[in-house]
Amino acid sequence: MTEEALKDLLYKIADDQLILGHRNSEWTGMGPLLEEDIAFSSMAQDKVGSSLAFYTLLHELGEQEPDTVAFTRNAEQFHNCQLVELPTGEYNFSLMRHFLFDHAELIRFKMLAECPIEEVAQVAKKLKGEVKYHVMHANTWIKQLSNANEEANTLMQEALDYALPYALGIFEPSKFENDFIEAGIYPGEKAIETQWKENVSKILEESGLKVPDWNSIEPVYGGRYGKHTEHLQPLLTEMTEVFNVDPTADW
Amino acid sequence: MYGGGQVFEPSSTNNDLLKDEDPKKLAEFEARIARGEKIEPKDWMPKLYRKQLIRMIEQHAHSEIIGSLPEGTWITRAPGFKRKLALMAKVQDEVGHAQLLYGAAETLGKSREQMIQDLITGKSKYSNIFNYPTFTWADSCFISWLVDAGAIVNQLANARGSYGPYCRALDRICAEESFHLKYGHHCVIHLATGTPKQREMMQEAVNRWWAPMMHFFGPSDKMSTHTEILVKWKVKMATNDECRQQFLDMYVPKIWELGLTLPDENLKKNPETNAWEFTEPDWEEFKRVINGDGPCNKERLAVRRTAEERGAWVRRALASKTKGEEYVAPMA
Amino acid sequence: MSFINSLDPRINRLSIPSEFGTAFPDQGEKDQFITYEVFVQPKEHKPYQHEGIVHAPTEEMAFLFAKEQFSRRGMSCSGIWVIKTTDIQVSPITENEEDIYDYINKEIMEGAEKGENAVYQIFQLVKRGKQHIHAGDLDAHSPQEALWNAKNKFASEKPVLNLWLAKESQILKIEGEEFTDIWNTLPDKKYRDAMDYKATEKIKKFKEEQKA
Repeated sequence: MTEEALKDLLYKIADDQLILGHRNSEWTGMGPLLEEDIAFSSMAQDKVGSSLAFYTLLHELGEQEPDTVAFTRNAEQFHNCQLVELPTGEYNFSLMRHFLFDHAELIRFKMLAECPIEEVAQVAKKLKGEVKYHVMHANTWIKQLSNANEEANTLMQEALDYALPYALGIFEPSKFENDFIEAGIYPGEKAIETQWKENVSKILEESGLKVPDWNSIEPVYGGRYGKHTEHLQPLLTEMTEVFNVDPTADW
Repeated sequence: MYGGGQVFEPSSTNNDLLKDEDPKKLAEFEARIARGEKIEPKDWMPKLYRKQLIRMIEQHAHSEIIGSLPEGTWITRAPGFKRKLALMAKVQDEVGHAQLLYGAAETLGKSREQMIQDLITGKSKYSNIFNYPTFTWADSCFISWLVDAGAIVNQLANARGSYGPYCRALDRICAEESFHLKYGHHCVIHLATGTPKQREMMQEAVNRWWAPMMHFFGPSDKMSTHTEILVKWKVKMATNDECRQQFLDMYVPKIWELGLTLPDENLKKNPETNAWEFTEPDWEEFKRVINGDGPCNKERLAVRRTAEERGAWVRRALASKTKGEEYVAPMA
Repeated sequence: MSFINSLDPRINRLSIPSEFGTAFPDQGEKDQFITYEVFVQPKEHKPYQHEGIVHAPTEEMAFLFAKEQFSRRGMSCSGIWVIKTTDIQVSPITENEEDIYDYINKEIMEGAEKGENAVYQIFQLVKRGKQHIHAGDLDAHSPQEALWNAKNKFASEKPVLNLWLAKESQILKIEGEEFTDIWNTLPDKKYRDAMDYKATEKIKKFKEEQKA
């Protein structure tokens, strides 16, 4: 397995976490309930902090400093799935995105905690505890809200139907799928996807939501290789606004 | 963080509230305070004490939640990971502080939804400084450092007050604030000692925010009344003037050492009196802004109202499963 | 329709009508949830301590909220208990360093409804202004018997000012091996630590440059 392959993997993880954490920070101070505002904001910080851990691994592999890598690339250079760049929408969408994404992340980190590359395994091992709480949070919310009343059930179903095609984009196959599998890094995106479908379906059913036939959903691919929606560049322009006043300055 | 200048609104009913109280109970209550024992929620307390404490703690809570908005303006644009993570954490902390403080006020018998409603309708006040706009990143850094510094001066004083739940909340808040202050100072240092553009940004922010900062601790106590009994009851722990002097003494030298100037040519420490002298702030403007006519009042309330309304379906849904649950005031 | 024009891009994305800041329909409905008292164990083998409340619709949510509100700081956390405020029985509170146990005698159990035997958790306040701390557990057939048993088990020369009791069955406990990893990364959040913000070198360098 080459270094290029490893970077491919680490970049997509880091970019996913950064963009999602950034999106979720839009709720800070404006959440539906004080306590939930606090919890959601913590998880947003966890994501950004997590992305920093992965950009740091990339830096150790020869990529530039995390600040430079995160704050000076353009949209077509990002490898996040399109799901995480979509606007925050209302709380039903943000919650559903959190649920769908974090289930995948937990599986991914559990797998990577066993990977033969020590540095990666260490980071994954540490972070999977964090994501475990994120999944606990998501499960409780999806179940309690969707089962609560008709209004909430409808809103959550709408969010699910909208998000699912994008969520499948998390598992867009990498150029290096076979390399990862052969080198025993992790069993590959298909394996995560299969486990993920099982895990989320169970919770969604318990929540009184309808899970469509998986075969009927067209996954939205492209994010992993720089093809993004019209939302990513404005997000990046905003995120880097102050940094780009002077990228060489010490802020 | 929050602001001083708490408006203990003098009203003719205050004396009425006091004269109906059982003199024996009142004496025991005051003796307990005098010997430094905290008052806890189940203790007998005079109506005036309860009323003023609710107002004070509630205002503080509102200040925290509204206070999350000026810095929140820059939360998506913080430059670099260190700043991004820190600002996300700081703004979150403010929401957390609001939660702690509403909880403390609730022990006195006012429900949280009533307090939130009073904030949105404009009935309850919050610290005036948050009615001003954060035009640049440097403005948010000014707040993170100096407005927090001002708040800490108040909080440290109030943490020695008489009401248990408020003191406990303040202990927690003060512990978290230590990182806020360091973060804010760190940001300002970097701007003030950085590139010419950064220095200019910081100086302009300072020029904009100095007047509101001088308003922060409220009018001189010579101008306000009813502080005597609140001091006796350890509700008001320091005068506005004392807090302002302490703030100036601690922070003006630190501002000047960074090469920043302050837009008040009269600002100096008198070597004989050891007190800071300054141009008297415009208290008419203070009154105008706190009563609704500031640059951001409408926006702050509109955002708060929007947040509540966007979240209504969530609370409605979750509450639909808990009908019949009886709410009681928290105990501590 | 005109919208609020904000300096905050997040707010501009919400398209808030301008008049939102000047009018608010009267709500009337109660929509903040009941409260749960939160107890945190900072480290294994240390006692649980009361930290505050959360408003929540269920105990699971109460835990989720409590975890972030009361254990997002500090070097470690090993467990959280949440108890509905209404499920906690409270003794009177003494003043002047009097011991509440002095007021508890066998007679308090007279007339008390004797129910099933239950495990009770006992929390003590040793000083006004401080937080209640977990003392331990005991068996009793009623809250009154629990008070009496608490006296026999926990009273000492050090006065206790106030007691809280809660039935074990009414406590949601998140603790132990199964959950320790959710607090794994707590010590790594350096950005929340004042120690991470040193700048004395920068100020020094700046002052030297100014002199030159």
